[in-house]
Amino acid sequence: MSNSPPLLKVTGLTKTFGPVVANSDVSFEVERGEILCLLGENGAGKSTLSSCLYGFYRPDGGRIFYDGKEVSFASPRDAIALGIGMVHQHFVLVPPMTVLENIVLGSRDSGLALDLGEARKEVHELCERYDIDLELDTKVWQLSVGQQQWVEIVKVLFLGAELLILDEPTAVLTPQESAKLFRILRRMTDNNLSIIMISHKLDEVLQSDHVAVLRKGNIVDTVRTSDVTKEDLTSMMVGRPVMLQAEREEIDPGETILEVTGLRIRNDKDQQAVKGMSFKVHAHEILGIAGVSGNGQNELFEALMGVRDTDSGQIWLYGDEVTHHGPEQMIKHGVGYIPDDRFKAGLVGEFSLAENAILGLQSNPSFADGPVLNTRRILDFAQDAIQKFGIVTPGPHARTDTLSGGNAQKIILAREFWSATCCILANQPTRGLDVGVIEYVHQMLLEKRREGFAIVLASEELEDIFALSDRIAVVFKGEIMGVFRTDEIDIEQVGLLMAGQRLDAKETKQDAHVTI
Amino acid sequence: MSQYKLSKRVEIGTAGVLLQAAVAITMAFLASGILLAILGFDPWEALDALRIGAMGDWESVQGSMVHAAPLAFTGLAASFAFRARIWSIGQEGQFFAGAMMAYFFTTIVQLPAILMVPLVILAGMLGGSLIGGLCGVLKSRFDVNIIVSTVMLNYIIVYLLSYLLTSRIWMAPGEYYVQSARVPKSSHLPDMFANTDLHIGVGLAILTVLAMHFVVNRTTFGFGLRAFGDNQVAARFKGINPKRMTVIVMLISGALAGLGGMVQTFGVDFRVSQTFLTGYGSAGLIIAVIAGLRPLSVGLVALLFGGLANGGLFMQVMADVSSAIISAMQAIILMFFLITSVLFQYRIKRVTSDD
Repeated sequence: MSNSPPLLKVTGLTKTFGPVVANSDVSFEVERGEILCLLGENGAGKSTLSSCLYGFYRPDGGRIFYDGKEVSFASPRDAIALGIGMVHQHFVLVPPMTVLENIVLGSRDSGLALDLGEARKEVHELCERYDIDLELDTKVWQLSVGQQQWVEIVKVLFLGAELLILDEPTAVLTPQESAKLFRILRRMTDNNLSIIMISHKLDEVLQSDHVAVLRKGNIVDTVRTSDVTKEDLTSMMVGRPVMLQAEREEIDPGETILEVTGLRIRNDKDQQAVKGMSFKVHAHEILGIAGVSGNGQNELFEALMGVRDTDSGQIWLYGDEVTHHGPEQMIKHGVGYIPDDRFKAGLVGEFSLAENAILGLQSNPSFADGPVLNTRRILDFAQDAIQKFGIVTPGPHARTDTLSGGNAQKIILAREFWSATCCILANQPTRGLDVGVIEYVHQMLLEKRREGFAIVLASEELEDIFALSDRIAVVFKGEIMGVFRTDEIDIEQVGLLMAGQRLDAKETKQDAHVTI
Repeated sequence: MSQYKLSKRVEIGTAGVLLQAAVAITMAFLASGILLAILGFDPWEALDALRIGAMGDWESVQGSMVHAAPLAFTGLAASFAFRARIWSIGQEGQFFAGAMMAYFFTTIVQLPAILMVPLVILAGMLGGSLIGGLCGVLKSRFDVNIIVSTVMLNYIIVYLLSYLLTSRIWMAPGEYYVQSARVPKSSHLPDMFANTDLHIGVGLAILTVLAMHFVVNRTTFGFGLRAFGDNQVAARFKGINPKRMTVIVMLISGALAGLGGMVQTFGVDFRVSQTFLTGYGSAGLIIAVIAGLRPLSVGLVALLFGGLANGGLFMQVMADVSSAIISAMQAIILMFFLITSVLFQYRIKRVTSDD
């Protein structure tokens, strides 16, 4: 193409933390005006690698060339001076300040007086050039999450970055927002900026120019995106072929198991988090709850499990009201819960694997004789679970906080699937898990569906929702924007609903009846 | 080229714990010896006197056990609450309350020993758990910080005793010292065996240590307690009611401390007075921490501390070293336990590379 040196060239980069090798002998290049995607599972070394590139970590070995010259960074300040900017997954913005103030904040050594007029012109120009739509005088707390990300990006551009590193940029975006993000990224590359994007979402990865696949700290291969398929990338990332789409067989739903009517719930800040939700879930049915997290899903699940009080409305199980039943009773009723934050809400870190496998079931006659634990049977159960669920661990006595996220999640699955008899509430059950484990969780949920369970599945990953659900309820700000059969609606429409826009009846594929 | 690296241990194991204890105690005695030398004593002579006093013969071993019994109770009280991450500092007040409640019963009922002894035992538990339970209820109902309420109640209870004595409600007529009248003979804790000083309070302490070990580790309640202590959110999702758990733990912890006060009063002192009862609560906190909140270890550490207290008296007589040095030694032991417990979490590894 051209004989000018690549914008960034990394050779043999190695970074270790004690005995853990996070990156070993990593080499790749980024040309001017291209998007390079770093793809890999959790713990593959993506974040460490990017932290080395913007000066947060100092690599133990290897060389970094920027624009043909060898460089080394003592701190992110050095990296930004060269033109490398980082957009973090968790935004670092000051909510009560305006967009412009946030962008200018900390960018100039201008002394005490801030020349906002000059900066305004410059920021305005940047937004114009890249077609970013930002009201500069709006306070940041009033912005949607997607808009906050624009602010972060403009902030880095304002600092003069030519190479942007984006860490999981679409994790919090609706499909429309992420489509817009990619349009803007493309405008940037057209203007000769370069982008390194960290991701594990295959759909987005396919929008880049090159993909560097990381596995266990090494780059397995760097490929031209147009030459590969999703399946290729997955098997490169995991090291074996993976079935991406779980097979969901057609089963007619049975009787109503769980029903919620007019539920209103307040959150910890005493605000209405759930504003009158109603839905039914039947046997042999998965109800997907689509929505950006923080739209009432957690409060809903907490209320369903009996750990959060409801203001009004009822919860019914097989036609019996269970509204104010506590968690102990809900467990006894046969409701299982897979929490979104497994180490916070699902497991006791100091407990052994075996103890966590029966957490909440300790008084069950299967594991206790009266008030005394039956250690023998608990260990047998744990040993069984290890085998059945393929948990990688030294044994049932291993402390839980030494396990990986995937193995920890399997303990929860083993426990909840054992105790649940009619209903499973799964709140982001695959968050942060590797592709292989996600595949496994999907299969387990479908298995339970086949057995006749009613399943409520909340997820931010619309692919999960569409792959598994019989019906989809879209939530926005504590309200259900609509419940649709999965074949009546597509990802685009769900995305609009997730962003709070209502659909005209005509817009849905068929003249959909909202089936509640 | 080779270098050494520190890495964190995942688990320490029983052998590691024992080794850590041995190292900590050895170093603590070395440091105490230095302290004695600085103060102008012959450390060998003093520490040898301490040893003889604590375990020189069967007689002194018994004395150490008798000294250990109340400490075991306050140690258990603290470790039980801490295991649930409930930061109760109220063992001192509950210890007093147990002694006072039991004493109160001896002033209002006269029964034969066969009934009187069980009565004072129950009264001791009642006194402690009333105070502990009150703090638990304050926490559950009004979210009153447990540290604050327990510390405040410590003062209230101690001053209440002071009032009951100085206002002569509990003081015998003509008594010169600020102490109560002697408790009736029928309420004394009897000796366990003939020709020993081991009153049944010592046996009660040993049984309680074993029982608490069982309760914490082997029962469904203990399982819930430990789950609650490590992760309240997960415990709540799994049916453990935090408010109920807080009250129950504080009732039991209080009862344990109260038993300690009762055992000291009815097994050793036979009177209540502020000087007789002071210091057991704070020693219990130290014991609980050193023992890593494990009930069986609490028993062993209480025995160590009981030995120090008992031997310290002998050391005072033989080597003319003030027994106040014992408090300093207890603190030194605690420090070395804390230091070694951090050190033992790491291992030194030799790393060789081919560069």
